[in-house]
Amino acid sequence: MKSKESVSVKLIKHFYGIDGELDEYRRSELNCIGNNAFIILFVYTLVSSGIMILVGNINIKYLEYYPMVNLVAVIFGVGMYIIFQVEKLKLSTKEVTSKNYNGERRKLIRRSIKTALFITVIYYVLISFVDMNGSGSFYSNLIDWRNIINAVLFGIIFGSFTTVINYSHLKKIQ
Amino acid sequence: MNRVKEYRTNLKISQMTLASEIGVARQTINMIENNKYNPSLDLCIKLAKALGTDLNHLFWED
Repeated sequence: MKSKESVSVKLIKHFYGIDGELDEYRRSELNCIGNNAFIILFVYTLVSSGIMILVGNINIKYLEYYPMVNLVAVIFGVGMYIIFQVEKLKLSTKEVTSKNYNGERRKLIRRSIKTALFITVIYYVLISFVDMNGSGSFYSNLIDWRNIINAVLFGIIFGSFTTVINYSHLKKIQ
Repeated sequence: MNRVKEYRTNLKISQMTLASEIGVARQTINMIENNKYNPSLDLCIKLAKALGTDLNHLFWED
């Protein structure tokens, strides 16, 4: 009884790292997690904006690090909350039979490599933009071997991490 | 208290089989059987059909 997945379902599954059926139980839990994340984010934005206004009135220079602090708070605060809840409720666990286990494992490795390649390219372009080595233009950064090695190492570490995480979600059942 | 587990074991089918038959994850069947999740009416009907019974027998307490 499998129906074709819509783009929004694919997006939700990809965002929360759900592998398998997105049924009504999982959907209701994800809705709950999403609502909580929104409330946390909303309150944080209100409070941090208030602080920013107060601090800005004292000395505008103090706001220099505000975007970076905000980014870290959002990624580590809300992001970690979502990861923790999804793991706790075992929503990302994919159960496979012994017969399908090897096939699923191969699929998982292929998917991890694809994700790692995609992220590596994004990272490579990004570090070339940011001009980490201070060597000049975007194009000169793009062909800088240090950036290439940096991106390749990042890709290997990210790919290995993704594979391990995805692998831990695979559960063999009888 | 529902009788999903009772009907399923009578039919000698696994949670996995039942789950794939009605298009949900095995964990969802497990949650329903342990009364940790209240399924929607739509899912209740699917369950009843898959287990060859009706909603009264499956979910109504005597």
